[in-house]
Parts: sequence; structure tokens; C-alpha cells
Amino acid sequence: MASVTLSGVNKWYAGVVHAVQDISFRIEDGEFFGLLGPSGSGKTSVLRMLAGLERPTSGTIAFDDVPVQARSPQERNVAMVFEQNALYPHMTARQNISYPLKIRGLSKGEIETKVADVANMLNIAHLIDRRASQMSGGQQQRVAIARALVRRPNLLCLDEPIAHLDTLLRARLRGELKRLQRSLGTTSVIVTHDPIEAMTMTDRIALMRDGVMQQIGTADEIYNRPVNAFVAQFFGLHSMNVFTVSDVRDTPEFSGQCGGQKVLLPDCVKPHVQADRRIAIGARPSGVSVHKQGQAPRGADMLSLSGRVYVAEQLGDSILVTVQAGETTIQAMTPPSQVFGIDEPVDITIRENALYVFDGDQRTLRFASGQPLPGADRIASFG
Amino acid sequence: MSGHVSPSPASASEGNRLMMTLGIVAKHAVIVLILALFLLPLAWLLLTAFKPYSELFTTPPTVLPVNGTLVNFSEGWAIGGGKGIGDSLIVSSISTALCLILGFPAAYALARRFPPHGQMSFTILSLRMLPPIVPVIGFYILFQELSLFDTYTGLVIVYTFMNLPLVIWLLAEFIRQIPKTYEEAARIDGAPWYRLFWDVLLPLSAPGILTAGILAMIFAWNEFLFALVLTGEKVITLPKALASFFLFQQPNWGQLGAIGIVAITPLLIVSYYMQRSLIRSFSVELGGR
Amino acid sequence: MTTISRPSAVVHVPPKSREGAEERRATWLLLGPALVFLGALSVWPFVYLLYASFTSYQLAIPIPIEWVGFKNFSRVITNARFLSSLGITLIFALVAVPLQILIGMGLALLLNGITRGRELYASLFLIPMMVAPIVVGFSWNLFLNPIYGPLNSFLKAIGFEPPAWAQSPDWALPTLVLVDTWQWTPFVMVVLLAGLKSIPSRVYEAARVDGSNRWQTFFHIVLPMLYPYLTVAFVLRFIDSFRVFDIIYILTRGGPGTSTQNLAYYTYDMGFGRFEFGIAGALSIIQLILLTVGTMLILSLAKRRDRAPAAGKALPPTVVSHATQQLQGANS
Repeated sequence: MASVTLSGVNKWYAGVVHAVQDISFRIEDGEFFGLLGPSGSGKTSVLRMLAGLERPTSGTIAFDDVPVQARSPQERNVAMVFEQNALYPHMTARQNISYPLKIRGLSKGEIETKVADVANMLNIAHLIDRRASQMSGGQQQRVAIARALVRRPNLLCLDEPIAHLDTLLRARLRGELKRLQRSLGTTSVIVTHDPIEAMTMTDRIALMRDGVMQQIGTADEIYNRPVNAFVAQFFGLHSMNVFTVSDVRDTPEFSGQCGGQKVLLPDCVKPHVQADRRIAIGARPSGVSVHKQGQAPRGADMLSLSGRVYVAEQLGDSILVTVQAGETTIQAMTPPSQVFGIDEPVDITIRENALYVFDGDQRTLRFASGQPLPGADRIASFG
Repeated sequence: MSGHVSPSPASASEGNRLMMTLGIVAKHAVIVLILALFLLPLAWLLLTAFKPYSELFTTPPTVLPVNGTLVNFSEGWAIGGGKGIGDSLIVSSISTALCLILGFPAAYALARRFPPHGQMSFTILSLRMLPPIVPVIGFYILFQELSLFDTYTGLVIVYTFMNLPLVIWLLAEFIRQIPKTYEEAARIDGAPWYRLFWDVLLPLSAPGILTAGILAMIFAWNEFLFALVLTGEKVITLPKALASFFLFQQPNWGQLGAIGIVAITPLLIVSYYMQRSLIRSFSVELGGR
Repeated sequence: MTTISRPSAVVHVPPKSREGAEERRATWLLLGPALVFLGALSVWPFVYLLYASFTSYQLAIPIPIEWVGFKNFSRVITNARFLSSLGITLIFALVAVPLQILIGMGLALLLNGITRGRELYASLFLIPMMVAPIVVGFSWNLFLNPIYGPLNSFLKAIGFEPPAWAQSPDWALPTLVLVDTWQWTPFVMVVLLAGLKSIPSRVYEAARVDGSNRWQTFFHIVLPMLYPYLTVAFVLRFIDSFRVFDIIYILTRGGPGTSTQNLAYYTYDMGFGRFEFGIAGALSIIQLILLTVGTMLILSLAKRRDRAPAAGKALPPTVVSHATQQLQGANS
């Protein structure tokens, strides 16, 4: 088990693709760390460099402050679970799990004990003599995890380990993996494109996009203080609504234009309006209220605009209403009691305490949930 | 030869169904008829192999051997068929082994480090297209210089040269289908390169190695021109033996037929299983998508 | 657009990494032995071939060897036997091959129309391809023997006056074309059968829904979709047609006269019948050039016709490889 430090890591492919751009972060000993991002964000490249399958083009990777970027996976003693095709198909589960120990020249007795231990831990003792083709996807991934853990690695690398499984199994394995990591205390890194997976399993998350680190923090920090509109929209069960308001003016009322639609703005936004009279507004669907036309409350602590219902989708305990306001669409989560028809004219309000404010280019968070951010610039410059 | 009845709509009448069945039966009948005519020359060869000398030169010929005999097989073996089989076996098996030993690492490098339709693949494949008559003169002079004329070594070298491009190409195609994760898992598990090859790549490539090996073997076994030109009296492969007997004034066709049958039977048995997998792989890889 | 990190001011073009160097070294270590072997055996004999074709090299006669420039080549191309053997080679390429494609297409359509037993039939059809060409020649020789062969006895019995096949001046070449077609039609059949199977059934269903009849479906849908497969079959068979040698050697020995000598047989006869290595060498090089130019011509024509997915490149790699593995079944 080890702490892991990356500093100034870059990865170029074929000298033309800058897949990982100047990444630095530290994973503490025993931490469960998530690398999150859409495909092509460079998260897998970071993991493969941590594992030693690829070398950084520049920068250093240190395990317990000892540089390892030139070392092989074996010298680093890392283990890895792959997204699929993780098991050697010509070997049984037992042979798969023993393989890393056999390479290391352990005695037969030692191997047997260790394999039995890890098989019990992962509940796969009954599968031990089956081949990959005789196991379900979930069972295969369990065996792959057993193979990774059997030699107590310094670092456990998980490359979308449960992405290929069906929804129910995924949810179950999420919890199991988290418990397992806690009880073993192995420093672990998981790569995933699913924010829910990252949120539920890991201690801290690094969110990447196009090879650039966006934000590092706990799930709570990233959810409640997304540093920019991309993070805000990517992170969470439902994407945050973000729209830019331009031509903001004070008279006759504090308002601006959004896609040809007038928006009344709350007072708290005032200090953040840019010189070019633009500003970007964010709100999660749960913070947006929809009202029948003319029935919306008004107030200086509230943003309001009007539009038409594009579609209303029943989600059981709530309704996801998509409203077309000018050229912008805004999604709102409304109680099931509120029924809207398609094309019905509605008013939308967002309270100050549900409001996020970004600069006009949606690059920097200025204001979140009713509190201005004194540290916004500091967070923004991270990475 | 029962007709396969595809599920017809519920509205289809009995008559329609009957017509469909008849159509399929007719198709089978046509195929079987064509196939029978198609294989007649080989069937005749088979029958000839069992005819005694006295029955070979009769007009009209007897179709089925009247006094069927196995003597052609033992005589064919004695007059040179045995030597032919031995020499062919030596040359084709050693050259096949060499092809696989040289070809597997090369195929791995080609599959993993070069694009599938790149210059390297094309160069290797184009060597395979060369008709043997083009290099054979150069080989002849070279072999005279190096004293490789009429040696097993010489013929093994030529057959390896002839089959290696194909073996590399086939194995590279096969290895491209093997996910890289297995190799990466082995690296993570700490396997050095030779264990990666031995423990992971070779077992996973076994079907491809088998296919490529059998094909290389067949081609070496059937080859004639190189053997004709590059060997003399010491090395006599089966096709060469057969051709040389055939040029006698009045060859004993029965004996030659027996040699021919012995020459092709193992190939037919092996390739029967191979063709099945070949046709299946055609449909799986191209049609299954 | 929404990234927060400052765009890195220094765009560093990476140096060639050590990892890359190691990988390159490993690549050449793996590929090296095979490439050295293939390279040595392509270049070395080729040097001798060039040497022979530009000198007065004659194996049997110990005369001093002289540089003769292109004299061998000019002697070859002005020779009537060269032109006639070129003609014979082209007959194999341009008559036998289209015949094989036509019959192969018919067989493929026939087999594609059934489900049960298709694999068995296909593997029985493939038998001739697996048989050594020498044995093929021998079998046909027995089968077509004018006196003792079964075919002529049968034809006589039903009242025809059959030709002497391989021994007759008029019939020798058609006989060879027949034998070549017999051996190689199955190859075309397999390639096209794979092509037919690659057409999803929904395509046929859509055509039926659109009201297209059988012939329309075949010419407007099936044939265009088979196009890459037809190209593969044609190119490989074209290249292969330059290899025809064994069946000529057994069935006609180039005769009667020189009426069935193709370029390969003519080269063999000059080199190892008369030991005129200069002439034979020049012939070999001419064949190499003809084959290369011909193949490129066909591929470029194929590409022009099928511009959308350039046929030459879009040939399914599996077809090429499987087809190639068949390629050498016999004539090698």
C-alpha cells in the first residue's frame, strides 16, 4: 500500500495527440480515488500510466515519494482489473488467480492458501475450477478482482470494472467493492465515466475533460461547488441547466436576454455581471420551479422567465418537465401533482439558494446556492 | 436429404407449403447431381487404384474393378511411393515448423505494431503472390553455388520461403482478434516476455497456429515446380515421383492411382475439418455483424 | 470552452520517448528473423536472375559469360513462341478465370438457397482445390484417355465421335482450361458464398417489400453488394493464372507442338529443357512485370468503378486472407 503522487504528467500519442495535459495530484495511502470523465478525457491514460502499462511523456509518478515512472508494473507491484476480457480464457479461475503468484515463484502451498483466502473473501470458492466461458460477466469480474487482490498490491487499478454488467449487478458490486476496499485498505484508483459510480464508491474524485484536469475533490465538493459549467453539467444524476444571459441591464428592472427571451434576475447576481453585460446562470432541475402562466411568485431573490412546455416525462415520484424558453431548454423536476400539457405556456422561477452563477463564458463559478464564493478564483486555478 | 421447411405464414395454404418443400428437395437434387459429376474424375482415380493391370487397358473400360486388388498399393509403395511419402513428409513438416517458429513472433509484431493494411503487411503479402516460375531460376543458380541442389535443406528453405508470408499473414490476422487486455494483464501480473508468449499468447493463438500450419503443410506437400527443378535423384517428393513415373511409355496406372490416392487422402481428411471451420469463420466474421 | 485550467502556454512537442525506442527494438527483434529470411531469399536469387538475364549465361555450355545488355529481352519479345505463350497465359487469365467466376457464382447462389447440408456440400466441392495439381492432372488424364478413359467410351456408346482431348491439337487447350476451371471454381464459390452470407436477410426482405422481383433483386442489390468479393476472387485468380504449370506438365507437356505452352511452361522449357538461362531469366522478369502491371490495372479499375468504399482498400481483410490461404492450394 502506498501513496501516489503525479506531478506535471503529460502523455502524447504518436507525437500529435496530447491525451493528458500537465496533470498533478496526490492519492493518499489507503484512499479510494476516482478518475471520472467522458470518453476521450484522458482518464484511462492516467490509469495506464499509474499501472505502468504506459510511460508518461514527461512528468513524474511517485509511489511513497519514490519516482516509479520508469518501472515496470511488476516492480511497482500494481494490480489491475480490466473492463472486459480480464481473465485468461484458457485458464480456470484458480489458474487465473494463481498466475501472478506463480510468476513470483511462490511455493505451491503458499499459492493454495492465498487463493483459497481471496476466493472466500470474494465468494467465488464454488467457481474456482471454471473457465471464463463458464462464468457470467459478474462472476468473471469477481475472479478478476480476486486475481488483483491475491498479492496485496501497492496500488489497485480498476478500469471501468463494472461498466459492462447489467444495472442491478452493477449496483450490488459497487457496494461490495467499496466495502472490500475499506476493509483491505488498499490504495485504489477507479476509472469510470459514470458520475454515480464515482460518487458512491470513492473518497475523492478527479474529473477530467479532453486531457485537462477540471476539478479534484470529494463528491460533495464537486456537486455543490462545480468549478465550471462542464463539471456542473457532467456531475450528478441530472445535468445542471446552464444558460448564458446577455445584455443585462438595471432599468426598468434588473433583467437580461436569453435566446430572445427576457429573464428577470435576482439581486444577488448583480456583483457578478461582467463588463460586457453577460453572465451564465446554472440551476439543477430540482431547483427549478414551473408554474402555470401568470401564477409565478415574484421577488428580488428569484430568477424568472417564461416559456412553453416541450415535453413532460413521468419519473414516478416526480415529473421531469422540459421547457423551451426562446432558444434555451430548461429542465425542471416538479412534484407529480403538477400536470402540464405539451406546448402549454408556463413561467419558470429559480430561487437564489438554488442558483449557480458562472462568468459569461461558463468557465468559472462565481456564486453558488445563495453564497458568493470568495475562493472561486482559487478553485478555478486548480489544475 | 430432407427439405428444410422455413416457417411459412399462417395464411399459407397446404399447397404452398408443399411447393416450398418440393423446391428445396429439387435444389438438393440439383446440387447432388452436380457434385457427383464434379467428383467423377477423382472417383475414377479411386477405382483405378483397385484395378489389376489386366483390367486397365480394356475397351470399354470396366467401371467397378472386377477383380479388385490391393496389390497396387504395395507395389506403388515399393516402386517409389514410399520414398516419396517419406521425403514429402520430411520436407513439408520441417518447413512448416520453421514457418511457424519464424512466423509467430513476426506475426505478433505485425499485428500489434503495424496497421492492418499498411506497407509492411502489403510487402509481406505481395511476396506470397509471386508465381514460383519467377524465382526458380535464381534459386537454381544459387543452389548450385551453395551446393544445396538436390538436398532436403535446399527444398526446406524454398518451401519455408514460399509459405512464410502466408503464415505470417494468417497468424497476424488471428492475433489481431485477440484482445490486448490479455497481454496487459500478463504484464501487470509480472510475466516477463517469454512467459507472456508461452503462457498467454501461444495458448490463445493455438487455433490460428493449427490452421496456418496445416495450410503450410498442404502447400509444401502438393508443391511440384520447385521440387522438379531444384532436386535430382536424392530427394524425390511425392508429386515429383508421380510425375516421373507418369512419363514412362506405358505406366501402370493402377500403381500411380494408388500413390495418388495415398497422397491426397490425408489432406482430404484434414481439410474436411478445416473447410468447415473456414466456411464458418467466413460467415461469423463477415456475415455475423 | 468550459475548461477552467489556463491553456498551457508552452506547447511542448514531445521528445521521442525511451518507451518508444524500446518498443521499436522489441518489434524489430520479433520481426527481424522472418524479414531477414524473406529478404535474403527474395534478393539473393533475384540478383542471380538479373545476372542471368543480362548475360550470355548458359548452364550446359562452358563459354565465357558476357554482358549482353537487353539482348535476351529483345530476343524474347521478337520471338513468335513468346507471343503465343503470352496468348496462352492470357487465355487462362481472361477466359478460364471469368468462366470460374460465372460457374462459381452459380454454385454459390445454389448453395446459398439451402440451409441444411450447406457446409457438407461446400466442403465436398472444395476437394479438387486440396488435391495436388499433379494428381489432378493424372486423374483427368485417366478420365479423358481417348481409348481407355470412361468419358470417351460413354460418348461413343451414345453415338458421339469424341475428340482425343489433351492429345488433340484443337482440344488440348480447352481441356486444360476445363481442368483449371474444375480445380479452381470451388475457390470462387467459397469467396462468393461468404459474400452472399454477409448480406443481411433484412436487405432481401426490404427488396421484397419494395416489390422487386428475383432478377431485379439480384442485379440491383446482390451483385453490387458482392462487388468487393468478386474483385477479390478475380484478382487472386488472375494472379494465380500465371502459376498454371503442373497440369500442363502432366497433361500435354506444352503440346501438341507448342500449342499449350504458357509463359511459365515456356520459361521452364527454355531454362531447364535447353538451359538457355539468359532467355529464361528475361522471361521470368517479363512475367513479373506483366503480373504487377496487370494486378494494379485491375485494382485501379475496381477502385474507379466502386468509388464509394474504394474496393481495393475496403476489401474485407478476412476475405483476402481466407482467399489467399486458398490461393496456393495447388499451383504452388
